[in-house]
Amino acid sequence: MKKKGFLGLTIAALVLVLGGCGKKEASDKSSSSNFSTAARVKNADLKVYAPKGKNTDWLNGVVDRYNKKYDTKINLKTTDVAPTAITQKLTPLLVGHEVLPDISFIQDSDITGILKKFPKSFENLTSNGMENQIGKLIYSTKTSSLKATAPNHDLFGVPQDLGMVTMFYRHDIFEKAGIDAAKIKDWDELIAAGKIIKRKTGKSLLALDANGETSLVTIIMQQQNVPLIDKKGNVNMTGTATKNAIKIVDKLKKSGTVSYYSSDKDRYPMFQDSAVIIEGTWLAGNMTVNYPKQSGLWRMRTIVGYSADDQGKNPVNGGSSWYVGANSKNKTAALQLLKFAITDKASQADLLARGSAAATKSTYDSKAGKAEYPFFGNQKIFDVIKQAGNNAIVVYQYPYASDANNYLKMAVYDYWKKGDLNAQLKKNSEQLAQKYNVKVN
Amino acid sequence: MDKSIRKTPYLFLSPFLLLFVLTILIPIIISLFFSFMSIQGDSITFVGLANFKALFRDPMFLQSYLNVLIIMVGTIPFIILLAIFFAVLLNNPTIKGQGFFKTVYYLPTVTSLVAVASVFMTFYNPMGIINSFLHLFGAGPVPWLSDPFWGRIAMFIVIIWQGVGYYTILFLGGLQGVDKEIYESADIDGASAWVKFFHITVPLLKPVILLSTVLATINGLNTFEIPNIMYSNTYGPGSIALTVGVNLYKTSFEMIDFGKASAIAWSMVLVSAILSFIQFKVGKKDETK
Repeated sequence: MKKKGFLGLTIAALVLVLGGCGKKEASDKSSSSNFSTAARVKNADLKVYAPKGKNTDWLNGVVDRYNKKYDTKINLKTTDVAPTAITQKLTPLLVGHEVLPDISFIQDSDITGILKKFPKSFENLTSNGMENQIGKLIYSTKTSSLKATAPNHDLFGVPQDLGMVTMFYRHDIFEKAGIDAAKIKDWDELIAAGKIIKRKTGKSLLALDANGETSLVTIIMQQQNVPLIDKKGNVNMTGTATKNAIKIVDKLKKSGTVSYYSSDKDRYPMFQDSAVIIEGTWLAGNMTVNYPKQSGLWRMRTIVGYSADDQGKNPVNGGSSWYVGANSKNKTAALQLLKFAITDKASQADLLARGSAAATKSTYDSKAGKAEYPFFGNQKIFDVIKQAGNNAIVVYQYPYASDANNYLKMAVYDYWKKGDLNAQLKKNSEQLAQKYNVKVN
Repeated sequence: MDKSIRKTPYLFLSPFLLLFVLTILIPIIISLFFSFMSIQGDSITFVGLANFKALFRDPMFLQSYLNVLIIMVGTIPFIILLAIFFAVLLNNPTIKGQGFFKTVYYLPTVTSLVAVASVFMTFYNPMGIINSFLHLFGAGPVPWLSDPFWGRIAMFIVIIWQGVGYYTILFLGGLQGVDKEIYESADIDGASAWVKFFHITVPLLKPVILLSTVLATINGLNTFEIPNIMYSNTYGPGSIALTVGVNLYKTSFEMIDFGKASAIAWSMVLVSAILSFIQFKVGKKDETK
């Protein structure tokens, strides 16, 4: 009896504590379909999960403009969540049916996994009508990519930036070598230029990953209109496009014009010391902060063509969007704010001014889109991004995309060490197929 | 016995028990439940052993265990030996500033692994401090992070450096419990320092050695942060950075497959239990000799 009493007491305490743990915040029960017809929310503290930096600084600016325009008192309560940690931060909330933050900043590569497992976790912008209002403003490559792997192929995220890949190059180094970088047509010409640069300046053309270069391989695959993962979720790893891309990287290696980095820690210092960086446009904003001594030396252009006959598609790498929690406390206010953010010209112009490649098309034709950047020798860099955006490939972000890249990396590394490209691609692709039960082309 | 007196121990134990149940027991039970389920949002379906079968279909699952085995073999003996060495030194009453040394040795244990791995990556840079030092002696640059062999050595160094302090304190506790009179008797018998170490210190430290080995094995099995940071969430050259912990992380937070992730976690529990059982059996056998 005494034991039972003690047990009962423990269970009662447990229930109380668990009850306390499970206590949920009140969520905004209003129907998401009437967010645009709903009265404007005048006061709200929006809970935001985003990495503190240029995107949150920009969002704060958006809030200021929004409050001024609509005479509202919207405040942001931002929690600094690194892009790589957002899934870890959200999944416990999703599993526990906890109230989600009003706004979350999520990389396009991470959202598919969340939406696949929790399709009702974030506001569906197609069904609530927002896509109709903002869709036409955005580059179709961005919306197509976001929708391709989303439940019912609907739009869930408010696009923030394009992940266009461009070519950054050191104007001074090319000039010293007597080469006009803007006139280089394809990879063969770039490699030939690299040899001259090495001879005349001692600088490397590019820096490659010593543990298996996959960034460039997937970029060259995309130029051939073959993303690593296709629309159906099949992995393109053993096909001609992959082998062609690896052959171009081989040519770069054999030319003796490349340097190697072995970790992310020395990646960007090595990039900084090379004549060319092929990377997402997001780097433009970071370069001005991280390479201040090289101001005026860099330029941007679209990536060199796949071949002399075929310019190829413009590759895509990265990109992020804003998501509104479907059960969040202030979702109507969050949706109203984000709609403003993407439709307000001043806010989109501000995004460009911060070095981000806005996802809205018309922004590039605005005054901000024609701005000259001293870091890039007063070049109008957004002309380059616009040109890239008009010819961009649609990529498909499946949850195993990151791991598929790891298996490709292992295949490239094994090939570099042991040779026999076909065998290494076959071995690693079979392992990937077994792990995820996917088809490998 | 008075009823209230009999209840008192339970009352004192109840905060711990409550926390234990909430933070350890319930999650363990939930993860065991998850390991037999497929979880899609709100829908949880019983799938029997499907998650476990899926693990064994993946060749990299066994590779991850092989990698942690190599990490354990390459680190645990060094951690234990160095910890005993430092503990013996610290236990010498003639050494001044013991408190300072204890703090210094223990500091790596409480330092953030992210910071530790980042600093070591700077050292391992092709033109970093270690290669620059080797260059002074005419040795070529070591590919610390881009070769499977040296990549493993690079990880071992960080794990050993980070782990020794904790075990040093454990051994020091063990040594301070040894009756000084035993050493005094040995001195009277003319025993050398080596004889005293191997015939008194080591046998008396056996329970601590056993406990440390078990703890280090479990920690080794859980290796995650160092390979994951050093190789930026990739598998590294020759897939050396793919540990069971890395596999578990990717399955949980990239694939968001909690069923399979729980199955991986339970495979770790099982392997830990088997290894600990073997270690205790071997330890007990030695005691009875």
